Amino acid sequence: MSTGIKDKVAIIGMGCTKFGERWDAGAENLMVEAFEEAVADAGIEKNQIQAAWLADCFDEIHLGKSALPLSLTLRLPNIPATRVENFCASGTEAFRGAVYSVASGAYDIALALGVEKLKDIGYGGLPNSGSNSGSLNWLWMPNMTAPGAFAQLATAYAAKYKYSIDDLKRVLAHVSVKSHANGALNPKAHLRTPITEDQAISSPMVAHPLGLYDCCGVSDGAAAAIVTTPEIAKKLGKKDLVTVKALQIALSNGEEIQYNEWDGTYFVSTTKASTAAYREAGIKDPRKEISMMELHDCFSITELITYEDLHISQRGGAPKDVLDGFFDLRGGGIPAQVDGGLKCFGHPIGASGLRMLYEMYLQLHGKADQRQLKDPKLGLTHNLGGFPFMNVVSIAIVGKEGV
Amino acid sequence: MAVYKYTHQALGEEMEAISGHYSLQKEGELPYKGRQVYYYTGYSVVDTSCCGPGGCGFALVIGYIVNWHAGKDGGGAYISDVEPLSDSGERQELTKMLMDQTHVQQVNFWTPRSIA
Amino acid sequence: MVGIVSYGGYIPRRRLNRMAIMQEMGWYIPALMMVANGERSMCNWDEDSLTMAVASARDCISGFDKSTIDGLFLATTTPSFSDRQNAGIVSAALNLRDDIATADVTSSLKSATTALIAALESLKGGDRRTVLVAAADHRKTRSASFYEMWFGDGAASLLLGRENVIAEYKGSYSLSVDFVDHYRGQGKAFDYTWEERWIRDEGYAKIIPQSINGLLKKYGLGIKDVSKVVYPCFISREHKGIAKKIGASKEQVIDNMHEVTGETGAAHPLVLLVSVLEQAKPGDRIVVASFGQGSDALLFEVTGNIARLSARKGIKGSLENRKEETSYAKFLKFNELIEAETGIRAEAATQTALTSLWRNRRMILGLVGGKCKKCGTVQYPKTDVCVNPKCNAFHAQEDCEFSGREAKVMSFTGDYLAVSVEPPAIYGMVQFDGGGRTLLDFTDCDLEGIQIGQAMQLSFRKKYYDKERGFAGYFWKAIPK
Repeated sequence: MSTGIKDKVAIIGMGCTKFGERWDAGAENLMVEAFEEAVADAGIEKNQIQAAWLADCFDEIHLGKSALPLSLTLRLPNIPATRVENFCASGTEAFRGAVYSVASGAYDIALALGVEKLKDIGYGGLPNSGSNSGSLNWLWMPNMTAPGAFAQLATAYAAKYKYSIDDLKRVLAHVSVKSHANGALNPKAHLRTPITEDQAISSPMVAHPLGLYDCCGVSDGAAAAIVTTPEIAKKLGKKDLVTVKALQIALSNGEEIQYNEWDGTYFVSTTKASTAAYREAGIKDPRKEISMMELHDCFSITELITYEDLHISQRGGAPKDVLDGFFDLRGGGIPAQVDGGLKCFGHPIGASGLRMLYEMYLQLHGKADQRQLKDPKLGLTHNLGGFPFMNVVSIAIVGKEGV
Repeated sequence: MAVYKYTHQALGEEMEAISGHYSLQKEGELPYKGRQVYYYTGYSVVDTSCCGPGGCGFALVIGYIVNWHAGKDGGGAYISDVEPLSDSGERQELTKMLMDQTHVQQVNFWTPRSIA
Repeated sequence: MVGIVSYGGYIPRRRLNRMAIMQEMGWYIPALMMVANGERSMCNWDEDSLTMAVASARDCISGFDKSTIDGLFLATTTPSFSDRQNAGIVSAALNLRDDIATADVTSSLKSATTALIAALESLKGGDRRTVLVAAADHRKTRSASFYEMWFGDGAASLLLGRENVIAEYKGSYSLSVDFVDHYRGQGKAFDYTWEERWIRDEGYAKIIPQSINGLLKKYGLGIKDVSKVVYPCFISREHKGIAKKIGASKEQVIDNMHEVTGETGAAHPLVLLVSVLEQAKPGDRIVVASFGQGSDALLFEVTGNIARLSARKGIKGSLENRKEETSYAKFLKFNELIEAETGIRAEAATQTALTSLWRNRRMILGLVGGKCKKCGTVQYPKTDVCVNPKCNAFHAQEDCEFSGREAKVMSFTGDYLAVSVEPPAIYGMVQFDGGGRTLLDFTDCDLEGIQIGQAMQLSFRKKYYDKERGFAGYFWKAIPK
């Protein structure tokens, strides 16, 4: 009988670069920047790391395949290193590999590092893979982009729960206003400009009803975590441990796109992954127990619906929570996108999951400066890669040891 | 629709989002159904979105003017009393009129926060 | 009895107002004004001869048992491939049997009538049950040429057989002469044309009458014994002149369709023939003639079965499904006559894995999905494992054709970021009547006209064009029903 990951692994060091259009840095430089902070934070020597996991999504435009770029760049001492890729969940996947490796007892200390260098392609946006997106996909999948696909989620959601598009846009605007307010407090965030609801409402549509402030961008960046067992952490002199409570991944199996049941208003994978994560972490009532969250706000509508898929808001009830300020930094509920989220902190795909954990880690250690929450105990991170109808979801819960 | 206070936005400023930026360039008035409709025109540039480049010229319709520049807010921005447009037929008509007259590719409608 | 069993037609929905060409290019060639009346049909950017041929063929065979089709001829001067049988692509799109004979008939504007004669003659003695002839053309022309004004895009199809014949094939007469009024050399995009007056006087005015008169003489008929005569000639005045030369009255001749489509190339004789069949009465004798390095003329006699042929879109229905295009720039861009910026993002790889295409040919070209024999779930695409979570049976699906099914829009969007010839890219999830759902590109529609729940139908379209390798990729899109 499996017992889950709860409290079997502690994070002893983390690092994260400034995210943004890092014209000054290549993927290798970004990896070094995140690693240096993490290893200094852990207070260990590089050679104490026994295994490493590297996450990057668009390897074809920066690092290339395999984990060699990590091993070569950091000049790791010929230790096992593995590259993982699972869309936007890649960073969390690298973390999962490192965490499981120490939990299994195979290694004492492991490294997870995620990086993405997107500003080397000559145009805005993610690379367009064309026929390299899969030889069969190329022959039939529609010519679509993510905003278009997520816009369909917004219209279906509004129709089902009888929100007018005007009202929904106000809700989405508040989702963005909150993230921008948080991002403005974060020196490492890509974008640090507070906005008003009216400014968000006034922005033109990218894919109706999603406006400019509802869509995330592309950033360069890297983040890293060093993990070990709580026992070793204590031997290393670490106190107030941050431990892993749950790590879950869920993937679509084609039902949403092929089987006539899903109504297009929620994420099947998130709903399942969150239930499994709470079970693993021993959480009964997430709305009461979770202290803070970093969600995958690739679009404002994703964040809104994810509140419901995480069983924190009632179905159809997230708009009310949003407008009540339940997810605001000082709203008295569960602050979300505490570091600014994808829409302000930025979204270098392979680094995103680890960057979210970085904020949870800072908060749990009381090191989040102006964004610091009062005595947080459990933090949840969420990534969603792909489309509403076909996706990869990861959920991680970390918290103080013993909670 | 009822009458709402609308705080005018600054013209010519670049509003920066992570996926691009937009700017309101001009204010305009359009006679419609015997009343004056207040709108902005501007442009958007979507050059850093995760999903490719884009952008457009757009109009943002605030509503029928009820009381122009009725006051100022703390920051010195004008406040007008406006009646937002919610009727879909009127919106369609105005969209067509504004697209023809101002050559924008997109017409959006401002609405106040009405649910809580 | 051998003859026509059914007909179908397809004219693209977009019609370019010829004054739009005049407005933009009249300063350059003022004489264009002479032919600037009416409108010409224009392919959408995702249409070509193959897609139009498929559309007209689907119209033609609707309501018929396509398993009886033993042969398919495709007539066009604008095939997508020089060496990959284009008729084979049409056959795959129609999901016809594999054990049939297919052929491209090309390189002349009389290809369609030649194919028609070959198909009809093959039915006479052999064991073929029905044979399909599809004709289509999408000819590119230089900007501001008279031919840009004269030409249009379109297709027509005829199903030929021995039973339930609506128009009996009485015979044919052919002329083959190397009269080069125009030619399109290997690798050239446009026709090279000789002096119009010569084409008119020595070509149309002599060859078509010679062919029609030859046919009538061969079967001992006079022009008075014929109800309708159809033949192409884009010079409207000469089209009337030919009628005079063969002694036909105004009522016997139908016009060249310059006002409504323009001349649809190799397809045009069949487009005109279908227009006549749409109004024909039992007993009508119809003569159809072509023009292109000679001429073929065929004689048909309409039977009583024509009243029993179920309604179809045909040419008349296609003409009614019309959207006026007033932007000449759009016409130029759709036909790649101007090089517009596409951005670096559009430089993505566009190679087609031919192995994958072959394995998935029914899925891609025929829009064939699966039906689970265990649980009955209809699904697209057909895969090794049933999608029904309560079933998930392995290797349990049989073929299930989706192209003829109606679908309803479940969700959709207009996407301004997707690389598209005509933004926004419209696409969405559709749910098929009878089960199954999938994501599809939408085409031939305006964003404002699409609603959740709207009925859609499927249309075979060009999905991509691999410029580097010259490969056109085809798939299905949804269009409003």
